[in-house]
Amino acid sequence: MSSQEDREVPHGLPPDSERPRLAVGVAATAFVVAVLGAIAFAVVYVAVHGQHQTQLLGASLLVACGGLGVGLVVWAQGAMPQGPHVEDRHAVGSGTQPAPDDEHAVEHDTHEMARRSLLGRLLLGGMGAVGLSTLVPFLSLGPDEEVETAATAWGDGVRLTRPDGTPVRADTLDLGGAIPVLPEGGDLKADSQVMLIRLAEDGQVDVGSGRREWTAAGHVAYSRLCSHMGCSVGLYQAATQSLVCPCHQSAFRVADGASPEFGPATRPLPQLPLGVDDEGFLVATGTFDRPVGTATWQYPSRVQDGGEAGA
Amino acid sequence: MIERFARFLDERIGTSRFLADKATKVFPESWTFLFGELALYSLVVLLISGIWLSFFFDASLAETTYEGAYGPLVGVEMSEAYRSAIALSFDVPAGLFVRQVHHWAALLFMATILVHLLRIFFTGAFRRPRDVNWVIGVTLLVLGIVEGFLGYSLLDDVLSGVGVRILQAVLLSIPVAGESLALLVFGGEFPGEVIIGRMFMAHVLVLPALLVGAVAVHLALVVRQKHTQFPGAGRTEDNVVGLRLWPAYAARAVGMLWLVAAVLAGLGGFVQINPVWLWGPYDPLEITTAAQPDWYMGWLEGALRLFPPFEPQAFGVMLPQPFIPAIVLPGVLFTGLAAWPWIERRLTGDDADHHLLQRPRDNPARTAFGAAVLAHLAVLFFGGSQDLLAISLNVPLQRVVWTLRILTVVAPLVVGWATYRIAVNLRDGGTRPAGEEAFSELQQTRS
Repeated sequence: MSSQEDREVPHGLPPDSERPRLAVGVAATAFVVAVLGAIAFAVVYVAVHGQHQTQLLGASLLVACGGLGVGLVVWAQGAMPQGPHVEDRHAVGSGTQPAPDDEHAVEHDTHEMARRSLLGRLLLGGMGAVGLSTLVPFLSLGPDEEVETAATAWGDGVRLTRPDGTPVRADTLDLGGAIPVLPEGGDLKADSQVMLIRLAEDGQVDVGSGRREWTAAGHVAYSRLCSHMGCSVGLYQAATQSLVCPCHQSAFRVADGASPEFGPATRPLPQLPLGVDDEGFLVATGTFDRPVGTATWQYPSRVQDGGEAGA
Repeated sequence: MIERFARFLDERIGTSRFLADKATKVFPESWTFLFGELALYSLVVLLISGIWLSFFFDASLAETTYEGAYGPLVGVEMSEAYRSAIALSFDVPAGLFVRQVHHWAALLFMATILVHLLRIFFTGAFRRPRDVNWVIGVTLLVLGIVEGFLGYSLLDDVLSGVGVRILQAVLLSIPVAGESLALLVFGGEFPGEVIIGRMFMAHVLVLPALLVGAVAVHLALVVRQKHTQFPGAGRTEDNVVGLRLWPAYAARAVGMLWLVAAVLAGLGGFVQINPVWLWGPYDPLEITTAAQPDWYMGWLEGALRLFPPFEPQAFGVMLPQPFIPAIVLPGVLFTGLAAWPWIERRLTGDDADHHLLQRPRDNPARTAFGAAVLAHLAVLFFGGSQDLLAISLNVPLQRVVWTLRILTVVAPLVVGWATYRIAVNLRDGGTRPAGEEAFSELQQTRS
């Protein structure tokens, strides 16, 4: 039944028909149109906002998907072997084997298809373009306005408060004590948290790295975000004056600018400059010397005193 | 590169042998075989658009005050669910587009399932050995209806909130367990604080998993049992005549997938559907007139509107009025549908396997019965819009309702009788399917 001759020409057409060539031309054009539609969809998503976005998205995606659909159907109907083929129907459970003849037929048809390699490539390109363009709306997952990722709520004159909101006087913390503090009124709890440590009774303390003036009333303050991966550096060992991160056991030397002492961390904890205001409360006199927490590709350009970066 | 990748796969998991086996599969051709395929492609669009939407929708009944881009609602108290639906429509880039594509895809999914089911029914494709797959298909229909209802109920606008209230009433009407069941589903009294979250989990996790699983089995069985075919020269109970899967059939099928996506993109872009910002947030005090459910719920809505005020009491208990139209009617319909292959086998005594299809005229009794049931459902469907009918026809509502009530009985009888006569006439006219002559000619030229 399924002899080779029938497969060469679509069903019911004379062998020298122009139809296959026409179909291939239409299909190729449709695939190119699909790519253009996909590009248009992405452009509309990025460039058009407001009222008409919905209609333009619909129109461009209609062209993109429609181009692929029309191209494939025209190719299938106009330039692919149309049969009819016959397959035996066996009772289910008796096991079916394709006749060897059938397998050769598939190879034959596939070679026929391979002759149209340009069309095949256009199809793959079209499906790739349309597939990628439908991923573009996932950009909506991001925030709808610019975000200053390196910002914290610290600044000149901002008081240090305990997590319950009470400001910290310069004389309340025990010598060798350490508490987590937040900027007064600031809600950036995740990024602004600071470890306040009292190293001396009074005056400025030498913590290395030439930042004596960043300490006040015997206190030093470092970002509580580990420079390795952003966990809270929650442990302070007063005996060794080390801050330890419980996530990956990075340790930092408090007396030496919080430089890394052990573990995977490579950069010191950013330091917060301290002062005491008129009423005797501890305040920040500026913000951190470098971005807090884990580093990104843009890290070097964001370090304020570049000389200290990576110390 | 593609060849190298194919070889890589073949050497590891034996793809070539498997694909060669599948590629030679022959599929019979008829435009009537298309609808199940279209339903499958609508499901693909539903899944992709649904995944996208699920990242933006907040299935919570927590109270909030609207502060977004849509002026008329600024300052209005609403649930987080409704707020996020409005945000999807006005603030999220491409949000309205994807929402509308998703809703249109749901309507198309249900429509193509229904037409596919009618094709299977009226051509006898459900007969042995496909009776099992028929039951899976009926299950898919029910899952689709429930999934669709849950989907538009999530948004917590006035329309869907009223729909959820009616769902509660339906649960309450169930004998013995109704009250406990409603308390269980809503986690307390209506509306409570958990129903949206629960419906969301059912809508995005439980039902999609069941739907995709059932579709997979449905398709696997089609491959295993091979497709049915209409009778014709060279076509017997023991063969399949048609197009090989590879390449033309596969290319056309993938093409149809893209065309369905294209149509849904066009609808989603240009034809507004369910503008929830106009309905306003749900508030148990609010109600709208002329409310309509999605089309596939129309027959159930009609049953609720047309069924008489019948509420029997005995021995100190009562059967609430909604129970018969809302539980018994769909229960009988879907059970009857699922059991139809066995019912017909019992009635006709025909126990054999069938791979050749019948035209509707070939089995006038079945065709007439199916048409009668459809007529009944159609009357119910119009019953779901009796208020709109009364307005547009300028007829008192009571007259519309009574006319439709009578029609629920009369229309099936008339349609069933007429269908039977027409089918018998066509059958005895002895016309043969078109295209058969061309096929015989081809057979002759080959031999």
